[in-house]
Amino acid sequence: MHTNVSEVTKIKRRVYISLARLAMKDQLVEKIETIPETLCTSDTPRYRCCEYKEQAILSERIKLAMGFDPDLHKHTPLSKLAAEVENVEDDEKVIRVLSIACDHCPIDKFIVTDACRNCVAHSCQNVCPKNAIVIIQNKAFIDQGKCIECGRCKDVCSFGAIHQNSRPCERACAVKAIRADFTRQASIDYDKCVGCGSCVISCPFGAIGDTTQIVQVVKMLKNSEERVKAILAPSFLGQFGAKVGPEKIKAALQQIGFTDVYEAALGADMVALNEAHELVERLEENQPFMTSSCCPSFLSLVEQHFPEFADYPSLTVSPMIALARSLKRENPEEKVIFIGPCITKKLEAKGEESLDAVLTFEELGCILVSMGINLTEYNSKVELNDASRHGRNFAYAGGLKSVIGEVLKLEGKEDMFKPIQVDGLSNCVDLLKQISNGKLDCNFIEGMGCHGGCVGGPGNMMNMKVTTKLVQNFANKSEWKLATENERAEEMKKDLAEKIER
Amino acid sequence: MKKCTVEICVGTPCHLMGAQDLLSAVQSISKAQLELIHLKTVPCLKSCENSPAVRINGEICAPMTPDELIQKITALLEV
Repeated sequence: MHTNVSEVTKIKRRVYISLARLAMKDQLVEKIETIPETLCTSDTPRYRCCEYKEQAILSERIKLAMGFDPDLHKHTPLSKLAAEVENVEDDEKVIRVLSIACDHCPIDKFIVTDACRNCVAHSCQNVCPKNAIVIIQNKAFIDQGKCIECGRCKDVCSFGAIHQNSRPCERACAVKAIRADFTRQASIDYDKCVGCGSCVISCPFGAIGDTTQIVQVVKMLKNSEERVKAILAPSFLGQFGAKVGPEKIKAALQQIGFTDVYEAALGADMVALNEAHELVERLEENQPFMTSSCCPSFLSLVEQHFPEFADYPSLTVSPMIALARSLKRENPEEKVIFIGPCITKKLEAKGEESLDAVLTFEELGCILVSMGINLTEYNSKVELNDASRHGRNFAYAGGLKSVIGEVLKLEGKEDMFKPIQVDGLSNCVDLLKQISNGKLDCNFIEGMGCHGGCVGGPGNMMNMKVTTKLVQNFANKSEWKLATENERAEEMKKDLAEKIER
Repeated sequence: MKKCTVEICVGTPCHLMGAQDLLSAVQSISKAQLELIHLKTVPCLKSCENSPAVRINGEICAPMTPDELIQKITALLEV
């Protein structure tokens, strides 16, 4: 995912960089109103009707980037919102549709194109069960009032003249949580949404976005009295270019004000054993299978859409939460920030007191640029050595499954292990349906909402083929092969005691 | 004999604005053409405000899109 930096992506990143820059200089309230005009002038490329509409859309993007609901604050000036950025209201929503940016894509599912030859056979008319096809001006035409969207006309046309329209956001959503309302405006059903972010990256108009905490984080970093710790998700390898290694990233984070930098893989080491033992216990209690719980999108999918399986996900917390809780325990005064590839982690963190903010790699990149940091120019020898090969392998699809398998093998229990691994939310839906119908036999499911696992997340910046390799190399370079060899993880896990469970 | 030198900036500002796309665009041209190019990545071309930046035969071109870059290179190779 995300191998191409489209114009939509560039616009979003420019907004983030501008915001972070002003926050850094303490000029947010004073100068925020100038951002739309600076980013969009009469000379910049035009995608909408006029520069004023583009600027209006930019304003909405800025509101979202500060964490506000643009619809709720339609008429609030940016400067006023900027002044209240510390008290942004929290309604447990991260993904929002920017009404003004939504192009109201057509909702007519089937239309006849110019390829129609008004042939003699008229198969389309013959096959239509509702007589919805009429011939007007030597061409077939679908009466949308009668059409029931069965698609038979499309299948039967010898010229392929009937086109099936599907809105990119609707097509991207595996749980059918986004659809057009009566004005053709996209709208999200939050009871169904699992927060995966597929719609965010699929909309070519950039009309769906996620809230960020960029300004809040910059303020924390600027405050010299505050100690801020960073937790880096294991998919961070290569996110700033294949040649920008983990040492450079750590050094840069320390330079911009993070007091400590930790691998989230340390948290993965903490939970790996717990999850393996939990599986054994649950199967002994005759539960038919257990699913992983580290991907919040997959977890929500099971809980919200497959209520019959709601008790089956592992109760072990995600690596992010495990490590954040440990760090907060050590020092409750210090801030803890998770930086990852993921939009749904922003949702997961909302209910968690041990986390103060979540950023994506993309958002971190924008903060670094706003502070004039160029990672390629770093020559650092600081070490990043928190985690074992096990923990680091959580970053890609199939990693967790093999870690659990290895742990069970060490304990001589590999025979009982019948795992299945699935990635990409639509594949997860299909697999859970199969299990529901009794068509699959397994006792452990590793489920990841993004294709390829976390390396394929929406907040990534690099081709996942490249980063998967880099993650594996980094994992193999670890001092410890097994999570159990990581003594620090073991100790932290002991200290957490029952707090390692959800 | 190399006909042109293409230096793609992969500094963080350019990375964010699509330097990787420029790199893969150049890498995807024909092998025969690629052999005539001296392709390298550089840490900064001091054009961060116009990222992504490329230097072709010593001349800075920024901002650059993959299509524009391929056109420029093809034009130079045809001379």
